[in-house]
Amino acid sequence: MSDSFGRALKKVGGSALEPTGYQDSRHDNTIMQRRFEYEDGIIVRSVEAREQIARMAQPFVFTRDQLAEQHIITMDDANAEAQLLLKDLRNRITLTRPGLGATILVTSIGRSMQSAYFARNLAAVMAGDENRTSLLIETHTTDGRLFGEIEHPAGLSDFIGKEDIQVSTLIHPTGIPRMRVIPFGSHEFMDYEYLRSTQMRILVKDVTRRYPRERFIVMDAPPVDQVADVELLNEYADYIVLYLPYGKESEAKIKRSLGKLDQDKLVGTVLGGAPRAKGFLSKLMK
Amino acid sequence: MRYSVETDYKLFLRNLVQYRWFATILFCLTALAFTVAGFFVKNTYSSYSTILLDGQTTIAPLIGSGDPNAQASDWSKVAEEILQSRKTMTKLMQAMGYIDDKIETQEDEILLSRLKANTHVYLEGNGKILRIEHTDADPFVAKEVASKLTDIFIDATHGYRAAESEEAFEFIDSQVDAYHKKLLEAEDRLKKFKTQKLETGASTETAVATRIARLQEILDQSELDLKEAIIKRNSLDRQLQTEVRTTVSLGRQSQYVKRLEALNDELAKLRLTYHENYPDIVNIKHQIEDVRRQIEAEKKGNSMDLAGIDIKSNEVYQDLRLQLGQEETRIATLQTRIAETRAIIEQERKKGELVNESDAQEAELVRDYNVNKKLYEDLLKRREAARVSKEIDDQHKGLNIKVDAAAFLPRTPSGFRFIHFVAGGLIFGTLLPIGLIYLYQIVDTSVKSPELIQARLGLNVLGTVPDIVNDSDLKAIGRRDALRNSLIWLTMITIGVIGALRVMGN
Repeated sequence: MSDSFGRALKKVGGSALEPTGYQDSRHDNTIMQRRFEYEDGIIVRSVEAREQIARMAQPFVFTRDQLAEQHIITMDDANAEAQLLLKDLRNRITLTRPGLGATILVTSIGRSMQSAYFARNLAAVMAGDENRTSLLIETHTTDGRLFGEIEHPAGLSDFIGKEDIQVSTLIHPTGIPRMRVIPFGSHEFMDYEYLRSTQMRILVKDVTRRYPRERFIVMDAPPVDQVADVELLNEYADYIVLYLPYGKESEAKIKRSLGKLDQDKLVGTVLGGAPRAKGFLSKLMK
Repeated sequence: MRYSVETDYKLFLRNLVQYRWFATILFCLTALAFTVAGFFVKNTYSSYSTILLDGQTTIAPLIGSGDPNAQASDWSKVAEEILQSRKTMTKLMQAMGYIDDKIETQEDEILLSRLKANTHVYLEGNGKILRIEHTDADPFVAKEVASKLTDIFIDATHGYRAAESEEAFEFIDSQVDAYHKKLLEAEDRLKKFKTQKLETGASTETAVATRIARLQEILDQSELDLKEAIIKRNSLDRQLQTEVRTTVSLGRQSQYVKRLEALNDELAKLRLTYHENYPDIVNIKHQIEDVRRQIEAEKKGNSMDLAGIDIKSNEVYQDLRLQLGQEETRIATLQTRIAETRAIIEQERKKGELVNESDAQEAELVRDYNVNKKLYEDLLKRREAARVSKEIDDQHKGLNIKVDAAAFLPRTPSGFRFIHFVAGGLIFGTLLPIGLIYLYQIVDTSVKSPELIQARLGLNVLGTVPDIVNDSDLKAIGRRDALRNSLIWLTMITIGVIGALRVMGN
């Protein structure tokens, strides 16, 4: 620890950390001292993590068009509101447990590809921080091709269905820095029973233990009201985000679906797919 | 799902955006439909004339309130009745030259119903002004019909009034006749009754009473006289009896005494000759005994044997006898009179009752007569008034009705015009989707507002975001927006073209 601390100090430049400006403070500076030490620790850890993270393989990087194709939000595109919300959500999650990773379950009520886009973007936003990495686990079929040009990459379904695949082979780098993905794969299931299989449990435990720190796992789950086994994913998650399609579901149905989710872990809901107003109307709506 | 005014308002705006396609299409369809409808609607022209109505005529105050139907006219009803009548319409169609004589063919009927439907009567200005309006595609026809209808109406109104007064007069006349008959009957009855009363001699009640009183007096007097006479008679009778007995008794006693003296002489004679036992002496003794007994008896008055006594020769007796006879006669007379008087009194009493009865009857008859007379006189007056009013109406002077403004030639079309349809279509086309969306919002149960989720479900809402879109999605959205806009523009252009067509068509 002290080693890495020293190294980290060298990296950031020790002189900058000299608490010279506070020397002649009239206050007892021990608290201040500890605070600096704490901050130093964070910085050191961050630096350390960044070093580790920097060593992550990044075989390719998405261009802006490729990102748009994958519905990954980029700056200055039409999804400013969603981006703001995602960053807000990221901060909310990361600040509650600083320095620790978390598993976030994103599920929805009613089938909507937008829920998958939201999960995908959440993972991307998480990875936006240079000290953090994220892993997106797609537990249902999506149109995502975050892994790039690879044909038939090994995915979650292959792992559950074939059993002879190493977990490490499932994790594919993406065109987004510091973001990894476990795609759903090409194995076909008759139903959603795979969510309760032992292989699934092994996989989740494995990936969560692999990088307990600074890694955020986003599980993109099928709609909670349509797939009964989504509630099994409750136990793997630290946080749950519910994607609620605008104007599609009744109050009663939402209530029913909420019963399946762990209320303590529920961070909140996102009312997505609201009408996109332009010009005058959007001003009126504020 | 309602939550608050603010959320409602925001939700409504969101709904407007969400259902923009629905709103756009509905707007286009409505606007187009209205425009097309307006295109096919013919321009119509309305012409009208106003008639000044005043129920009160200048003559009316002169004749007083005798005319019962002077003010009772309900003009709107009358006008309706007159103008919607087949007679009026036939006249109108004749005047317009649509038909020669009568309504015969089905086309005529259709024309009639169309004329009827396009004619309207309005009562304005506190019921003082009648507006007769006619609408037609041809302004000249509109004017013609309105003006002709006005003429027909005025004529018909006078006719109507005349008929009304005629009817009233006839009715009153018939009533007068009826009452005249009744009055005559009553008179007749009264006359008959009076004659009958004279015949029966039924006088007044007081006369009867006096007569009964007088009769009663007579009766009382007679009864008194009778009693007196009876007493007198009895007294005379008694006197007569006493007189007779005395006379008779005296006569007999003297006879008996004479006989006794004779017997006693004979006895004395015989005794002189014969012994006491001599049969003659015994016989005479017996005889003397008998006479003595008779004398005794006479003295006691037991014997009434008048035989052989000459009473008539007694003057007192004669006189008494005469008086007695007279009294007997008087008694008989009085008794007869009393009986007679009683009968008369009874008769008078009965007559008195009759008088009472007849008085009541008479009063009734008189009353009947008087009532009839009064009614008859009243009716006579009314008949005269009705006659005057009839005369007035016959001369068309009963109604103060004149044309205020004659029918004119309309210049601008009336009613809904093309421009109204276009404007209406645009406004309605805007309001209809908005209204429908608002209605839908009221019944919609789907969750659309974050406030609702927060409050009702206790869920922390991170935010409301639109769909995550990429460039191609945006392009698609843009294309759809452009399509929608072009739809609206296309609608506008179409409306403009239709408008131009119509302007050129006219």
